[in-house]
Amino acid sequence: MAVKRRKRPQTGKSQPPLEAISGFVLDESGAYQKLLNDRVRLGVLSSLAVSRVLTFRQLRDLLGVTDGNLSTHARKLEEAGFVRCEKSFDGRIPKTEYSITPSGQTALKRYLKHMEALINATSG
Amino acid sequence: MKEQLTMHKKLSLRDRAAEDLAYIRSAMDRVEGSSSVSGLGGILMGSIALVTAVLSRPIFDLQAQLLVWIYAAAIAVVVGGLTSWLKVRRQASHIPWDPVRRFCLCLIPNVGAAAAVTVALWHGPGVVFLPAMWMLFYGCGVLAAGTYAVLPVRLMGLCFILGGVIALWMPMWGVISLGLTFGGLHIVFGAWVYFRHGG
Repeated sequence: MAVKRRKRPQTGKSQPPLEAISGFVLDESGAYQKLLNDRVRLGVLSSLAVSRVLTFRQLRDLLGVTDGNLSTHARKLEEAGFVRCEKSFDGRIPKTEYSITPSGQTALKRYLKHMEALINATSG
Repeated sequence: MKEQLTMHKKLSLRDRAAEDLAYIRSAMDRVEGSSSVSGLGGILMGSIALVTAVLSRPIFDLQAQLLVWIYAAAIAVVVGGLTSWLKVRRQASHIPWDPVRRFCLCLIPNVGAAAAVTVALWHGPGVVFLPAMWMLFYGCGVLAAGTYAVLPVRLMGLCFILGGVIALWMPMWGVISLGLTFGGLHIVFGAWVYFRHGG
């Protein structure tokens, strides 16, 4: 039986890591940077910053990742307290909904500021 | 040599940061695009078109038939706009004006062109081609606007264009094809958006 393969987004593993620059250190432990260095996690957080709630299926389709891949990355974001996960039933069908937490919004804003600062610092 | 290495590191860091920003922007655009098109709106617009097809069928005068369709289109636009607005209010954390503006910028010129062609052909023998023209213009508009929306919207635009091309060769079936395309396609693709893209 043919297995349906989804196009995987770049994880950025081959790319150089973003460095903290003076005045824009992400946090003492570098947790934000480590967590958001992955494209899938960055995509999940960015998508949830726009939409109040997205289901697992919506996120999977929007980001073009596999179920297992999304599940792993979403769990990491949930453990870090950046996203909230609610499981319920729509009739007999299980439904998983994700939403962004205030600390997730702060993390994304700080990450965006950090990247803008990086671009400004390295240009010219 | 050391200067070259520093420059190379600077460039790759900047590229990486720029790529990340572009990725975030595209992820947000995709979500905004999916939340600003209402599947329920599509189903309702399709239903209005089917009712219009039934109501306009006994009318023998082509201009009068088309006039009924113009009134129905006005109602359908209001319904589509209202349901999209409700979907955005329900799902998005803020009103995504950017995709709404881009959607309108793609659709409105085509609707305007269709209106101009309608006025030009209304009193002549070319009136029989109006249903096909409407399908073609609407399809082009939806296909262009679909660039900023989810896949079903682009596919629906493409189907409208195909429907328009077919209707050009069969002008006597024009009004029936309006019912099939504006009714059937809106309902099918509206249901797709409704069930797969959050309502």
